[in-house]
Parts: sequence; structure tokens; C-alpha cells
Amino acid sequence: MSNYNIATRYANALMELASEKDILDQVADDMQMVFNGIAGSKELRTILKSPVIRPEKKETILNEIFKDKVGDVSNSFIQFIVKKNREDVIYDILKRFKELYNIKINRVEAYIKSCVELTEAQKKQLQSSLEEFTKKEVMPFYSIDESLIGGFVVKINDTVLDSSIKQQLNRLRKKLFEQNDIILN
Amino acid sequence: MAEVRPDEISAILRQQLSGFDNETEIYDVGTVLQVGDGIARVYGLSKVMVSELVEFPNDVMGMVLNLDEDSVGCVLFGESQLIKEGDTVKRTKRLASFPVGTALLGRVVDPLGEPLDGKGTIQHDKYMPIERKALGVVTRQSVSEPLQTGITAVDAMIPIGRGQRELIIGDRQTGKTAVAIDTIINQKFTHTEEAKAIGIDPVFCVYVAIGQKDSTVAQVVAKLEETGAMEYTTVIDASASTPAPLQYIAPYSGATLGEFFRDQGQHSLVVYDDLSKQAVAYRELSLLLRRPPGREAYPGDIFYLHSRLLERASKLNDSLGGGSLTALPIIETQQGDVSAYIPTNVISITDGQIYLEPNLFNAGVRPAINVGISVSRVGGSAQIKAMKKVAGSLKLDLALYRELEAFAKFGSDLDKATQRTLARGARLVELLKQGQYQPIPVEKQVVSVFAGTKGYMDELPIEDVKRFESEFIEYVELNYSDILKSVREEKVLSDETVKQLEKAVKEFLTKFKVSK
Repeated sequence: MSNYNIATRYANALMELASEKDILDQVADDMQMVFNGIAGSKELRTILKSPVIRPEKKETILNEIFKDKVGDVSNSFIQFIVKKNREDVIYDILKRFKELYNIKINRVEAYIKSCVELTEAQKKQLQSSLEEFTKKEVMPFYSIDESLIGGFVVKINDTVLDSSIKQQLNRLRKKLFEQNDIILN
Repeated sequence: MAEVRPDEISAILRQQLSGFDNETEIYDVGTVLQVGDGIARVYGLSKVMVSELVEFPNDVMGMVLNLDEDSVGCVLFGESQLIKEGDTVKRTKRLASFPVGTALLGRVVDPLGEPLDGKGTIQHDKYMPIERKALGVVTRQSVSEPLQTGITAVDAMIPIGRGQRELIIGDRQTGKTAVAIDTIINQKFTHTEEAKAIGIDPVFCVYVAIGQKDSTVAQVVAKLEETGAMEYTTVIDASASTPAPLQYIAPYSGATLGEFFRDQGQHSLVVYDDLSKQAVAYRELSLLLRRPPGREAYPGDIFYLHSRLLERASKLNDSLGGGSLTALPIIETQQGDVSAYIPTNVISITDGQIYLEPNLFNAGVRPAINVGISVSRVGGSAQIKAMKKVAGSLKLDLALYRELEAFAKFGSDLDKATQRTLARGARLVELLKQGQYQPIPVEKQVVSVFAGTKGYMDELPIEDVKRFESEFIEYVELNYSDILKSVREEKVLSDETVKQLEKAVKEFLTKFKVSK
């Protein structure tokens, strides 16, 4: 079975359990924290994937890092994954959980790249117009990419809204190539 | 080379920029997970369709073939070295399609419609998807008009109708392509005013070269240009050096162009040269996409690959314009093995086959058609009446001849009837020999077949048969042009014409000098 399938099953199970106990938001926060922890540490990811390190050891490591910081349900979920020898897919499970949670609460993540740092007013305006465009709550992540020359690029799920100068120049280049038989040499 | 002046450039730029709007572009993307062997696995592209074109960096295009749970399998139409893991893939929201229009006639293009002949861009009418569902029962009618190949053996015994699918099968070096090219060249007549006057509609041709040497394709194109056949022909070239995905889609592109003419009520002829190489290209793709292999390592849907292609050949009913798409698929066999997987598949799909044999070819019988096992299942109803009348006994005579051929070495020990059959057969075989790129118009075929089957050549030495044929046709052209005219225009052989023909042959026989 592919990792994607496994991740979906575990993530769904956690989601249902949390909804049942009415602590979904708290669990989601916990999972985001764990996700950030794992995503941020290459060593941790390597350890979790390594078949050389014993499961007990991995359990202890995860316990040490997260036990005091997450709720009971989240903690036992992590233990459960390790017990089932699925610690190598824990990253995928958390990622999938995040996706499913976002769908459930009608929220999307928007990765916004711009050439220069946006002002607070611009950010606010952009966020509200994105919310209007997607009809969903938007969780923005900003970053800077100078190669855009100007304008900005927003990526929401698989869809890209591109209004950068770079894209416009590219489009212009293509259009000129298409319509004229200019021999370039 | 034409010079480009700076002021010209700025004028063009100004003109182009005036219509250029700086809108936000919205597109769907994915990320390349894995790339190699002309295949890319892509994560994302969540709304992509099967057989949609996707855009990779460096202007490489790809086509989606597999939709899996968490990834998408694409084939690349360009070099996979230009793409690396993590690259962004863009959807085009356009199914793999081919530009169609009369502007493509006379051009050599690749399976995506990009020109390969260096004659500049093509002003096509529109794009049509390369994969189209074949038309249903109600839109069709049975084959009724002939498609003259200009090859006497074919037109007399294995007639092909417009809208038919006739397989050309044989080993390498047996003249399969020659049959197809002769047929294309022979369509030149249908584009003349003369043909129009007697109600013959023009046939537009598409020659699809799959997995062939570029030098071979260049030769074909040169020949078509030399004979003036290129004016109504498009060559779609996916040569051996192009990536397998392009070789796989090439026949569908050809069918799309043929359908364009058919749907306009015109007639088209598409030659797929050859489908065994396309099957090999598709096998390569399928194995790389990890589809399970079956017999001869071909994937399970290899039959559907060819059946859906050839099913697109059709003759439309009159309410839809009565257009037609004739398909001439070519299959190369290995050492005459027609029971291999791909040959049996295609034989069962098509409406008959022209079987070419290497031993006939080497014995000097060219075209090397084995008339005994070549058939045409529907073309008979499309044959012109005059030809039907004279060719009726041709097949029978040849069959008898083949049966008795083994006894030929006993010579004069045989009884009179057997000797007669052998003499007739040997002369008919000689009569059906024909040079490459020399298609014969149907009225002349009728005249020469008439002379052969009525036994007027039986007394001639075999070496003189071909000379007799050509000189006789010349004689008829000069002295009895009415015969040719009536066959050409009325397409029947009236009793009157038969009498005239008999008179002509008898007259000519007295004048004909045998060589020894």
C-alpha cells in the first residue's frame, strides 16, 4: 500500500476520534506543532526513517520531545503510530491530517511570493481578496523571491495565481515567437 | 537570408504589445517527483485529465497517461535530460491535439503539427483532439466508391473502396511502402478537372511515417514532390529518433487530419507506415509506466490501441456529406509469421489484407502480391462494373494456375487442358507485373486485363507480354480512344464496347511482332 493510503487512514482515524471527543482544534494545534518539529529537524526525520534504530528508542525520543507539549489524545496517537511500526510515515500522516483538517474547517493555505516585502495594508488587502476568490478562510505564508522582478505569485493547493513581471515577460516572449517568423541569430 | 531592420522590429513589437494585456495568469501546477526514460511522475496537478498536454520547463511538452492516487504519470515529447526533480509542471487544459486545415497539405510535420520541412509556420484552421471516438452505426453507410490504387493486381482482384481499411502486410523489403506510395500518387487524377467532370471527388492523402529512418522519409517526400503528389498530401513524420510517445500518437494525429477532410464531405486516404513500430513504441511506454505486460510483453490494451485507430476509418452517410476516410495500415512481419500477436490483431480488425511475399518479390513478380491469400472483404461492391466484368475470371485462372504450377516442369507430357491453364496463368502473372511509381489508370487496366483473361495473349512468348500490353494500350489510345473514354466515363463495359475491344485486339495481334 502506498504511503499516501496509509497516511489517509491514520489521519482520518485521528480526525474522527478528535471530533468525537470534541477536541479537534486542540489536536490540530498539537499536530501542527509536531509537524513543524519534524519538518524543522532533519536529524529527527532521519532517525524516524532509519531501520537501524529500534522502535523502543524512537518511542522514547518522540516521548521526550513532545510529551509535555501535547494533549493526551495526541500523545497516545504518536505512541500508537510507533507501536504499529509506522513511524517512517509519521510525516506523511501529519501532512495528510493537516490537509484533511483544512478541508473540514474550510481553510486553505496560501503561499505568497513577492519581489519585495509587502506592507501590512497590502497583506490585509491581498488576504481579503484571496478569501473572496477562494470563498474560504486563507492562511497566508509569505516569502520573498527577487527573481519575480515585480508583482506577486500566490499558490493555493495546486492552483497558481501569477501576476509577476517574470510571467508577463515570458508570455510576451511566447506570443512574439508564435506570431512572427522572425529568424533570430 | 532576409535582413531584419531595427525599425521593422520596433513596429512589430509595438503592434504586438498593443494587444497585450497584463492580466494575472491562473494555472494549475504539479511538481516532478521522478523523471527518466521519457516518463515523469508528477505530484499535484489534481484536476488534470487523461491525455491532456502538460508543460514542463524548457518548452518540453508532455501528455498525461496515468492518473494514480497520489501522482500522475506523464510521457514526455522532448528530452528528459532537460527536466529535473522538483520542476514545476503546468496544465494547459488542452487535450493532446493536432492542427487541421488545408494549409497542412504539402507539408511535413511532426505528430503535434509542428513543421519539420523548414517552410515556416502553418496557418491552420483549428486544433482537433487526436483521440476521438469513432463514429457510430447511424452515421455510416456501406462502402460504395472505388479508391483506385493504380496497381492492376489490386484494382482487379483486391479492390479497395473509399472508407475501407485494407491492411498491407509482408516481410521487410517486399514493397509494402511502394504499394501505399503508388496509391497516393495515383490519387493525382482525382484532383484534375477531368475527374471532376465525370464525378470523381478528390482524395486528400496523409502519410504517417512511424519509427522509420529519416532518410527513407526524405526519399518518400522527394518522390511525392517529383510526381506532384505532395500538393494534396501531408506527411506526418515520427522517425526512429523521436521519443516513443510521439511515435505512439502519430497515427492518431494522421486520423485526426483525415477526419477533418471526411467531416467536410471530402475524401481522405491515410497510410500508417507502420503499425508494428507503433505497437513497439507503445509497449515501451507501457512498460515504463509499469503497466503489466502480456503476450510478447505487449500491454493488455494493445488490441484497443489499433482497433480504436482503424475504427475511425469510415464512409459517412449522405446526410453528413458522404465523406470518407480510407485507412491503409502497414504491418511488417518477421519471416512471414502472420500468426504473431500484432499481425493477427490487425488482420482481424481490417476489412482485408494485401499480402506481400519475399519469394515472389525475389522471383521478379513485383508488386509481390500473393493474390491467393490477399482479400478485400468490402471493396467488391465499390469496384467499377467494367473491371468486375473483365476481372471475374482473373482470380479463378490464377488459382488454377497455382494449383497446377508444380506440374509445369513436365511440359509437353501434360494434357492439352492443363497446358492451356498453365500458359494462361503464366501470362496473367506476367501481365500483373508493374513498375514502381507507375500507376495505371483504371480504363487502361480494364483494357489490358481484358486482353489477358480472354486469352489473346496465350500464344505470345512470355517475355513479350509486358511489351504487348503497353503497345496495345498505346494502339487503343490512338485508334480506339472511344473505348477508353466510355469505360472512364460510364464505368461499364457495354456489349458494343466489348465488340470494339475484340476487334481492336484482333487487329493489333496481326500487327504485333514477337521478339524472336
